[in-house]
Amino acid sequence: MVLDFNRPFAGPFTGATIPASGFTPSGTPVGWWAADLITGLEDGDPIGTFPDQSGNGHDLVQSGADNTKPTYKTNIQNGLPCARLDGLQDFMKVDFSATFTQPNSWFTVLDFTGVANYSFILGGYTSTTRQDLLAWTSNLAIRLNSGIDVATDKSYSETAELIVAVFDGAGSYVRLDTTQSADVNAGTHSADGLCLGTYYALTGYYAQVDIFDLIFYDGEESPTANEAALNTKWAIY
Amino acid sequence: MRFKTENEGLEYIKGRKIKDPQKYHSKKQLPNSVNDCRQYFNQWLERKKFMFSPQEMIALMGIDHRGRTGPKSQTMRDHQINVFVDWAEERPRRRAIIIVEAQSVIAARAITKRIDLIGDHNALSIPLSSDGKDPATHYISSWNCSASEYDFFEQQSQSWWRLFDGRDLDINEFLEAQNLKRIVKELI
Repeated sequence: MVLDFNRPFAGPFTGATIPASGFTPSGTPVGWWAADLITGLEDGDPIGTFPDQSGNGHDLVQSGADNTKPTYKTNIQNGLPCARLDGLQDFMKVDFSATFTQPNSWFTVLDFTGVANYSFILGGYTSTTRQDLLAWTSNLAIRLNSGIDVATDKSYSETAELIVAVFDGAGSYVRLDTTQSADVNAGTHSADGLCLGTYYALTGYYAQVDIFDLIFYDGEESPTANEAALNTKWAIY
Repeated sequence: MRFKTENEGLEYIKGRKIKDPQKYHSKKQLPNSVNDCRQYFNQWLERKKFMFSPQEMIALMGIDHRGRTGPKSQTMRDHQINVFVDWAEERPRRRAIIIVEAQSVIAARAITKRIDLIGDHNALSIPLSSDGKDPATHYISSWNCSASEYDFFEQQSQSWWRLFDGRDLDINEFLEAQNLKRIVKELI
């Protein structure tokens, strides 16, 4: 490793960037977090701030010790890095400072590296604004919110996956690598923030997962608008 | 763990046991002054800014990623100077798996607070037992740490403190080998 002290001061972090992979989300996301757009880190570094690329300033933050921070890992999927959550105590959170009522859409490219009971990929920010997306080992299902299984045939695998979760009351659904579930009722909770890797109380149910890309929309964003481009970027299926 | 202030930075770097001085000199520039040292450290902080939360960045630089200001903390800067020197000397980051006995977890957390200077969450919060049910017999942390911080963990000699090298370790297989399981309560 060559120490480059001649690197010019980069200045404060501002707004969205043009990514090297060429992928930009469709529409106008509320938040967009991409592991390959985290700058300056090396393999094994902790991630204290996961910058929001949407321009809205919704950075995911872990203000605790390094044992609670995800780890930046290079060359994990299609030569690109990930934010690795170890399933023990790693999580991040962000307060949107605004409330987004349903419908809402979440696009997640991830890889489960281990699943314990009730692994929360996305946990709502408070007990009353919970748009939870979790893996449920009892029947290998992906769940939207508590108690709402998205069909028991949606088994997770241990390779990278693209999960699209749309929260829209009785018309909620999940797409797993472009295969869409039947509609389920995911309730009426809004989203006013996000806990990545745990649920709103932050006291357990940590996900053991590699996070590659995460996008949040206010509204139902057409899944096909991003699926092909994300698959090109990450070589998922 | 010794903390060195910025004013002692130059002597500290020169005084560190450098494993391969030729390698060090050929790739890196020794700072010629305390101001050089301060500049190098600040440049490292700017490069590594996403390692830190906004609160940490304010404590370290007086300004976070989005320009919000606040007071610097000399204690935090002293600590991160050690982390910076580890990086400059190419001592790789480590992963410490720490398991402590449940009756000693309060004392153990006091030890971890010497590393976790700004954190608002307790380390060693994951309860374990042999059958995965309450009461917890042990607590565990998986800690992505610098080489110096790992050295500090290794120096703890209490019988109730166990340290394992977590590099390339599968945590589920590790717990099984220790005959311990995470206690997971029913989700309400």
